[in-house]
Amino acid sequence: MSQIVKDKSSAVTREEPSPRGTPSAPSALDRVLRASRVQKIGAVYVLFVIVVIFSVWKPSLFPNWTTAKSVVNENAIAALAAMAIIVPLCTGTFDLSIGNVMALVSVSLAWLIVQHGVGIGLAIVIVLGMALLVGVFNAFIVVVLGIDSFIATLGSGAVLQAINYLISKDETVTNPHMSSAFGSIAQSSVGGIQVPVFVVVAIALGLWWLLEHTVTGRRLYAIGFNEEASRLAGVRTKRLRFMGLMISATLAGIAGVMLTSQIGSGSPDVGPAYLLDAFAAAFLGATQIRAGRFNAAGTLIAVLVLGVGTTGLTIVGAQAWALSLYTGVVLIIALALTRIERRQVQTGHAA
Amino acid sequence: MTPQVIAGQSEVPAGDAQGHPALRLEHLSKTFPGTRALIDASIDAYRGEVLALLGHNGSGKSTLIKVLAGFHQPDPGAAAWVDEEPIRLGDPDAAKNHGLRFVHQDLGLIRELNAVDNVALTIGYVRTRSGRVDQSRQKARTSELLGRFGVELDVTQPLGDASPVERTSVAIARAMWDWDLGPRILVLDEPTASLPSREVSRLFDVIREVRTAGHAVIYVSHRMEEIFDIADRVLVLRTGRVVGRGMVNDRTPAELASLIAGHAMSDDAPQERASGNGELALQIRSLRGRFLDGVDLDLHRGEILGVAGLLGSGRDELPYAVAGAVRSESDGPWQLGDRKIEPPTTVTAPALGIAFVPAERDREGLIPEFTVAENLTLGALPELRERGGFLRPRRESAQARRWLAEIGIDEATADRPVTSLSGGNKQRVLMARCLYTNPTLLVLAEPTAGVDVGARQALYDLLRERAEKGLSILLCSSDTQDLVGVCDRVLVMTNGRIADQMTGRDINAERIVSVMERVR
Repeated sequence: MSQIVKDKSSAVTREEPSPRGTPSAPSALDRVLRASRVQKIGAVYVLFVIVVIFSVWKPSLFPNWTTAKSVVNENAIAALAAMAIIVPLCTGTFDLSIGNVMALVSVSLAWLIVQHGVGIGLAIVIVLGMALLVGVFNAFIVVVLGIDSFIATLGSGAVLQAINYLISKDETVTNPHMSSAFGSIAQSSVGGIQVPVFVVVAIALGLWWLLEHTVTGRRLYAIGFNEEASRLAGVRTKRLRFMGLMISATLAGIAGVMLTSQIGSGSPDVGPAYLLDAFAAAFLGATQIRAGRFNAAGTLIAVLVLGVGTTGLTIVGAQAWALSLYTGVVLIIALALTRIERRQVQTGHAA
Repeated sequence: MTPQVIAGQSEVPAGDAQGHPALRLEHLSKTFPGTRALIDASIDAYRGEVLALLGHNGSGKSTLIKVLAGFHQPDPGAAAWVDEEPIRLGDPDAAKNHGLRFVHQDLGLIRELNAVDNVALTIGYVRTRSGRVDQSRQKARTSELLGRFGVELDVTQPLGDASPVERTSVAIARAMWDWDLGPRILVLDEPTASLPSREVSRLFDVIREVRTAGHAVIYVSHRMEEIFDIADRVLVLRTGRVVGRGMVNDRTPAELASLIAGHAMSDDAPQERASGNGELALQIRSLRGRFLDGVDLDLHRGEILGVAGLLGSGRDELPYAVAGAVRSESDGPWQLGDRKIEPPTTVTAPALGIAFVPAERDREGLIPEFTVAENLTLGALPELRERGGFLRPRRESAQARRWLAEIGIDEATADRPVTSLSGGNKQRVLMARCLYTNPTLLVLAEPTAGVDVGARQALYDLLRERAEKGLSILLCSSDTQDLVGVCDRVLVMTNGRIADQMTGRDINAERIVSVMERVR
C-alpha cells in the first residue's frame, strides 16, 4: 500500500500502513488460524453461541443427537432452496419464482402419479423438465427482454401460482402409492440422516467446484460485480445470466421433488414458504468464507444458523411469531453485514 | 515540465479599472491519492465579465469547479474571497450563500418534468390559501423568469421534448432565478459540450443577458473558438497549473492552442520512428457509427496510431467500434493481418487477437470487488484452465505475480482489492489483462485519464516496448500529450471524419489542437 501514496509533499498527514513482511510459506497452523478468523466465519461462532444458549436453557431436550439429526434433516429442503438461488445471485440476478417452481413440481408430481398413474421415475424426469422450462422462460424475460429480474420473476412466480391452483384445484393430493413408494425416496436414511441431506451436500460440492474452481465461476462473479466491464472483457454476460436462471429453476425443481417426497403428497401451498429462508441463508452466507461473494459453504453455515435457531425456539416453546421474527432479523443483519463488507472491500480496508 | 514563460505574466491592469474582483482564489492545490489535480492555482473573476476557463481533460478544470462548489476540500493553504470577503472553500452552503451558482454539464434537470416543475424544484411553488399549488400563477412565474433570459418555450411540455439549448437555458435561468436579490457568480461547466453548433449562439445570448445584468460568469470549456465569441478574460490550465491568463482580445487562437497543449511537448518532439514494417495489421473502409461518418483506418504492424478529436468527433466512439463494443458498419469486411474478418464483437475479439482497454477505467474496466490478480487474469482465464476445467489458484497467483513484475507493480499487491491501487497502476493492470491474451492489436481509449505525470511515462514506455515487439496499437485520447509522447502517426477527427493526419516529426500538439478546435 505504501508505494501507492506517492506524493507526500503536501501537508496531508496520513498513517502509512506498515509494509507487510516478506510472505513466507504459510504453515498448516497458520492456515487453520487464518481460516477461522471471525471476519471469515463469524456465523460459526454465532452458531456456537446459539447452541450453548439453548443447551443451558433446555439441557434435557436440546443438546443431543436426536436434535442434531432433526435440525439437519428438517433444514435440507431450505438448504436446497438456498443453493438454487446462489448462481443467479452471483450474476446479480434475483429469482423469486423458486418457491412457486417447488410448488409446481409438487402438484405436477401428484397429478402425474396419483391421477394418471405415471411411473415415479418418469414423473420425476417430466417435472424436472418442467422446472427447466420455467427457467428458460424466466431467462427469456429477464435476459432477452431485459426486464428487471426482481419484478420479472415475481411476475412469473404469480403466473406459476395460478397454474399450480389450476392443476391441483387447490387441494392436497395423495394416495398410498404416492405417500409410501414415492415418499420413501426422501424418507429413507443412512444413520438417521435422510436422503435430501446427501443431495444438499452433493449440490453444494458441485456449486463450490463451479464457483471456486472454474473459469465460468469466476466470470459469474465478475458479471455480478460489474456487468459492463465483464462484457467489454469478452465475457458472454447474457449467456451466463441465462444459464444462472436455468440452474436456479432446475435446482428448485430438485428441491420440490425432495419436499414432495418428504411430505408424501402434492400441494400448491408448500413451496413459497421457503423463499424468505432461502434468501436469508444466501445473503448471510455471502458474508462468510468468501467475504462479499455468494458461496455454497457459507450458505450451508447460514442455513444451520437459521435452522438451529428455529429448532431451539420451538423446543423452548416459542410461538410461531418468534420464528418469523428470528428469520427476518437474521436476514436484515446479513444484508447489513454484506453492505458493510462490500464497502470495506471497495475502499480497500478488507483484510 | 519546463518553466512557463507566460505563467509569470500575471494580472493585466485592466482588472483594476473595474475595481475588486468578484471572486478571488489563491494558492489552490488539490491532491488525490496518486495524483495532484491542482497545483497552486489562483483565479480572479470580475463582475460584468465572462471568464473562460480553458484546458483539456485532466488539466484540473473540473477539480477547480468542484472545489468551488464545495464537493472537494482543497489542500490546506488555499484562500478565497467573494467581493473581498473571505469565504470557506469546500462548503456547499457557504458557496451558495455567497452567490455562487452552478450549472453542471448534466444540467441537473428532470427530463420527464416540464419547465414549470423543474424550475419549481429550486424556487418552490406558489400556493393558494388552501395549500394547493397555484398552477396558473406558477406557470406565469416560470414564463416570466425564462422571458427575462430571452427564452421562449412551452413551459408545460416535458423538457425531454425541448431542444438541448432550451434545456441549458432553463438550467441557467433556474440557477439565476433570484439574481435581483444580490450579485451572483454563475459557473457554467462545459455548457456547449452537447450542443449543435447552430444553437450555441442562442446560449451565448442568454449568457450575455447575465453579463449585462452585472454578474460574473465563469465559463468552462475546451472549445477555443467559442472563447473569442463570449469571453472577456481567459485562464488556461494545464496539468493542474495556471499556464496563462489575461484579456481574450490580447490573445490569438494559435497562442491559446499552444498554451492548452503545452510547449513542453515541443521539446521532446517525437523522433522519426520506424513505423512498423509496412505490413498491414488492420484495414477498415468507411467505418460508420453514431458519430463516425466514414473513417478509413489503416494500421500497420508495430505501429502506434494516435487518434485525436473533441468529444463527439468520433474519437471517443472509434475505439469501441474497432473493439466490437458498439455496433458499427463498414464497406466490406475488415482486413486483419492477412485474414478478412467480419466486424468483431466483444466475445469474438479476444480470439481474433483484438484487446481493448475502455475509457472509463472504474466503470468499464475493473471489477471493483475482485483482487488485483483476479482483475489481471479475467481476460486470460481459459489459458489458466487445466484438465477437468479446474482453475488452479497457485498457477493463477504465480502468473498474476509474473505479470505484475513485468509491468512494474509490487507483487505483494496481487491479493489486495484492486481499488487500493492508484489510477496509473489500475491502468497498468488493465493493460496487463489485455497483453496477457497475447493480442496482435491493442485498442486504448483515454489511456492516461487520471494518471499522473510520472506514471504516464511508464505507460508510454510499456506501449513503446510492446510495439517494437510487433504489437499494433490504436490509441484514442483527448490528451494531446499522449499523442505527441508515444504515437508514430496521429489522425485528427472532426465531425466523424479524419480531418488531418501527421507522421513522425510532424506530430505536434499545436497542429493537433488547432485542427480539432477549428470553428465548427
